[in-house]
Amino acid sequence: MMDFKNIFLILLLFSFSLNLVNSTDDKVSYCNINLMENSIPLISIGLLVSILFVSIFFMYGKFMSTPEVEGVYMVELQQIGLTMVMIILITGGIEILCSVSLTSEGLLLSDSDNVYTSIQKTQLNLMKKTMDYYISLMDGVNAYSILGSSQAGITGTGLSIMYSPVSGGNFIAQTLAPLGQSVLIAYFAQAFQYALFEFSRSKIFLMLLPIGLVLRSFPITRKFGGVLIALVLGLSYLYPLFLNFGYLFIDIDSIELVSYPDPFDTLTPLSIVLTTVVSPLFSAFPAIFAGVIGGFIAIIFESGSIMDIVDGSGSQIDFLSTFTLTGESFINNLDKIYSSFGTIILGTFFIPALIIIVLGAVVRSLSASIGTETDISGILRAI
Amino acid sequence: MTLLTWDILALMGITISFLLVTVIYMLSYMFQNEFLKSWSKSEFFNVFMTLILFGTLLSLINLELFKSNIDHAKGYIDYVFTNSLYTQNRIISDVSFLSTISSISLMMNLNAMQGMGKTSESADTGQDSSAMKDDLMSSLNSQISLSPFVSPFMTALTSIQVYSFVPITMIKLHQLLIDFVFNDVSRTFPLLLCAGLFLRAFKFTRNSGNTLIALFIALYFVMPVIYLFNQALVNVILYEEEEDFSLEDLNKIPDISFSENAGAPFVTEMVTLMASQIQTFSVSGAWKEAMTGKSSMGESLIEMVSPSGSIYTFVVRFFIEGFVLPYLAIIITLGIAREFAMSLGSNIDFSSMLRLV
Repeated sequence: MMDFKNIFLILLLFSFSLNLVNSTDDKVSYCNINLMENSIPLISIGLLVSILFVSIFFMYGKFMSTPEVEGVYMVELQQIGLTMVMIILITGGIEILCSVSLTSEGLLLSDSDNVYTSIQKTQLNLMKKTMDYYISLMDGVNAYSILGSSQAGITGTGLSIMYSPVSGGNFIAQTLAPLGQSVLIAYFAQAFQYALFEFSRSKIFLMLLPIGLVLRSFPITRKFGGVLIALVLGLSYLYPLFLNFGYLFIDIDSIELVSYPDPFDTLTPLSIVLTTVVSPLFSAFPAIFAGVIGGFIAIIFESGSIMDIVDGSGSQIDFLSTFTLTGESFINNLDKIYSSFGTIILGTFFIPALIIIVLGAVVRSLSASIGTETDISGILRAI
Repeated sequence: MTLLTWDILALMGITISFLLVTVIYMLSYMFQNEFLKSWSKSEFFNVFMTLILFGTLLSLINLELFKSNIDHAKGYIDYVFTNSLYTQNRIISDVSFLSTISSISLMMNLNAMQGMGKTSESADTGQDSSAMKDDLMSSLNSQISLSPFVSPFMTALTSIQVYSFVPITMIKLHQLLIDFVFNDVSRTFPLLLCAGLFLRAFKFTRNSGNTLIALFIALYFVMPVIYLFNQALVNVILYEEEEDFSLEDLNKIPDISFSENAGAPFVTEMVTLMASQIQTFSVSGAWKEAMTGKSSMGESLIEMVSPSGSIYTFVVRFFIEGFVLPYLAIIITLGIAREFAMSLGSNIDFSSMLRLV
């Protein structure tokens, strides 16, 4: 009895979804097709056949005085009602998704812009910004590494003193490198999400809806069929809608490229002074050279030296800011770096995670109403 | 193009749901269906509850008490982030300085120095200078670098810097997330609440609506209070012993200047300590003594870990205030959001989100 009562629902939804698949383009979208116009004849025929069957059952029950068969008609009428509601919901849902987009101000009714195009634009924009940010971050790592690896020194006969004037650049490069690694992972996650979004809009994925309906007709595969239906409804219709909503929480334009000092601007003047003035001077007068080395050591380490002064006043930042590595400008740069990184992480991981929680709740309710308790949160978590 | 604002949408959702319920209720009498009757009654109750939530929550968010809480909490989280940023910058600048000192190397080639004299002598005596040059080339250099003296301190600061990446990123995420949520409160009708109310109006989307409403309540009303509590906690830990500390200072946000931040005393003291030890040219001995707490360095380090010391302040300000307490705030907020969601009729599991945080 249970299997039999669902047959009309299944038949109707199956024919409807096949019609839906046929009217969809190969590549993209359920939009640009007039679903109601294409579906009305088929749906009407299905409903008429269903009602006819119900009336036959009712009459048969009455004539044969079989209360069990007679009682079927009320259940079947409910199923037909439920089917009509579901068809209206799916058709209406598609029409809505194709003609509205969500903004932070509210719901925008527009012919040109819809949920799908809005998400597509946002995702592509986010990917582009992320990759630009990654490249600028790597350029920053490169620039700071060059600065850090630079060597300056004075060489006389048998004596030399070498040092790295801006070796802190290496340290900053080490700070930026793990950020770059995380950004690259985020970029691939975005690419995965974009591919999934495109996949969920494709004709082949939509085929899962009628397949799910067929599988749902048989007792053995009923649960799996329910999962497929919930998956298609969840990923193709609800996921884009909620994702559009989630993207309202991030400001992609706040992703700014990393600024960094040009190593050659910093190093060229230094090297010119060293090669043209200092080195010839010390080569010509080795005694001065030896004296400078001794004096240099004394200045660094002895009491009242540079080290003491710098440490005592806490002015290392001022000292280093002459190399444009630190100071207020570097703080502002760090702030931008973290702001951009935070926006990328928020848009790539945090918002989709929130969407999945919300979507999981909807799909559970929806699948319970269809007749199968389905929890797709495990599948969605992979997103 | 037509724009339906979020508040209108929420009201539309409630109205449409209400109309649908009345139609179903009418049909249930037509079909004499008891199930539909009870279902529509229960739905009517839910829609009515949504309407009450709409009125109540929109009235509450405009109360001055909550608005000032939110402003204060926003200021506080901005402060925590700025403080962490300055601390990181301080570490970077100090390690850069140390790194520059560490890179100094002196090279001396005694043979070459002697050979310089011999070369001039050989020129006088007419000997072959090329053989002499070969000897000079193959002679060994003496080289000394300052890096061994500095590396223990640089390693320590580098490790701290590597760990600091996680808390600063997390605080930034907090800041970005609540920036949107808290900025949104300046509107009369916040997006998150209106979207939640719209979804709650319908049977299929009630759970997700409850999730958003519960998140809204926890984020708007509870999270700012947790931040204020965190701030009071840190202020008590750090400043309670100060004579002029009063209850009014519990939620006082200190000003941050460029050279004075939580990281400054710590790193400056570390570098000063290092400079004093370098002068003895016995860093390894100093570290050994420090471990046993016998030398002046050991005493200094122990002093820095005491509640009035710079390491203690640094750890409290940077790791506890910047990492542990905000994480705790998120845990509590999501936990309370779950409770709210349950009281609204949905059991939402936020554990996956918590794992992500």
